[in-house]
Amino acid sequence: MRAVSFPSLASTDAAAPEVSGAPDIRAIFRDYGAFIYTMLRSLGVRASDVDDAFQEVFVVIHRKLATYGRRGTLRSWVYGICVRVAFRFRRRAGATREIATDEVPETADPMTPAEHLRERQAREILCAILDELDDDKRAVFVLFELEGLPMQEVAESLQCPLQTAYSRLRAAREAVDAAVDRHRSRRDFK
Amino acid sequence: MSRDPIRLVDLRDLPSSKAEFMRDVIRAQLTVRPSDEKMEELASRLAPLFETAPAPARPAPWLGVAAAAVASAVLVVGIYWTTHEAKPDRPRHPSSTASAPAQPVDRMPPHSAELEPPPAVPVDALPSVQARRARAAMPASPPPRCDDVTLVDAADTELRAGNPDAALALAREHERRCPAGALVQERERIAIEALLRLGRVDQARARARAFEARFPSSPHVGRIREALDRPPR
Repeated sequence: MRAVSFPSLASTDAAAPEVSGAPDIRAIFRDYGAFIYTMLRSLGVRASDVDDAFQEVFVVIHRKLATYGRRGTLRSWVYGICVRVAFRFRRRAGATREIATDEVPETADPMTPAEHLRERQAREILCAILDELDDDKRAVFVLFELEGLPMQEVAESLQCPLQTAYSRLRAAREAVDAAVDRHRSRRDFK
Repeated sequence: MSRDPIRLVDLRDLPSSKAEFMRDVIRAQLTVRPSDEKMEELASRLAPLFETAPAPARPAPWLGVAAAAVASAVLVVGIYWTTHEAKPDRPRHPSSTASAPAQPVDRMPPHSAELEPPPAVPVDALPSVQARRARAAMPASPPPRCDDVTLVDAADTELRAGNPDAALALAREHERRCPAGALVQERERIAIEALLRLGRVDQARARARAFEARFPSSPHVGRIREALDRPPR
C-alpha cells in the first residue's frame, strides 16, 4: 500500500501540529489508519458506520494526543481508543437495523468481483462468528488473533491486567469454537 | 520471553477441523485493507483535523480540588510553624510549594478524558454525515431476500465445472432476486461466458456491449473481450 499524501500539508513539517514529545496525528494516520479501518469492522461496527467511526477515532486521538504518556506503546494507545469508539458505535447502532442503500459505486478496482466475493465470504463468516462474542472477548480476540498484538499490548489497549487478558483470550477461543460449530450446523442445514 | 500462546494463523499442527476452519477464515482477512483511494478519501475528510493544533493537555477537574486542598494544608502548617514552632534550622516550605505540583496528565482516567467535550477540535468543519446516517437508520421494511454471494458463487462453480446451462440459470435467478446486488458485474461476466459456451454468440455479444456501457472501467471488460475473441471451448 502506498503512503497516503496530504496535499495541503505536504511542505509543512515544521508546522506540524505537535505537542512537545507527542506524536504527530498525521503519522498516526499514515502508520495505523488502514489497520484502524479494518479493525473497526472486526470489532462489529456496521459497514455503513465505519467511516464515521474512523473519523471519531481520530477526533478522540486529536483531543487526547497531548495526554499520551508513553506508558505503553503508541499502537496500544491508539488501538485502545479504537476499541472504545467501536463499542460505542455498536451500542448506538443496537436499536437500528442496517438496510441496503445504494448500489456499490463503480471504481477502477484491480480486484475482480470474484476476489471480492471470497473476501466478502470470509468477512461475513468472521463477523457472524465474532458477533457471538461479548465486547471484552471480541476485543481480545481481534487484537491478538487478527491484529497480531502481543498480549502485553492487548492488556494495555484494554487497560486490564495481563492475566485478565489471557483469561479473556482463553474464553474467547472457547466461544469462537462454539460459534464455529453453530455456523457450520446452520450452513449444513440450509 | 513471551508467554503468548501461538496465534491460530500460525498453528502448524491444528488440533481440530474447527481450528483449521477458523485459521483459514482469519488468513483470508489478514490481507484485507482499505484501498489507497479509500485512504485518500479519509485523509481529505480528516484534513481540517490535521490542520488544527491538538488540544492542549487539560488537568482533570479533581486536580483543581486536590491543588486547593494541598495549598490549604500547606498554608495552615506554615502559619502554625511561623507562630508556634519556627526554628531557624528547620527547612521552610517555600510559598511556591503552595501550588499543587503539576501531575502528569496521562494519569487521568482515559474514559473520563474521552467523555470531556471537545475543546479545540473544529468538528463542525468536518463533513456532515447526518443525512447519510438518517437514511441508514430509517426503520426499514425488510430487504428483499437476496443471496447475492451464494447465487453468484454457485453460478461461478457451475461454469467452472462445465455446466453453462446451470450457470446461466443461476445468473438469471440472481438477476431476478438481486437486481441491484453488489456482484452484478460478476453475474454478467458469468452469464456472458455461459452464453458463449452454449454457442449463443450473438446474445453474448449483445450482453457484453450492455455490460461495457454500464461498467466501462470494470476489470472484467478485458476478460470478456478476450472471451468474445476466442472460439468457445
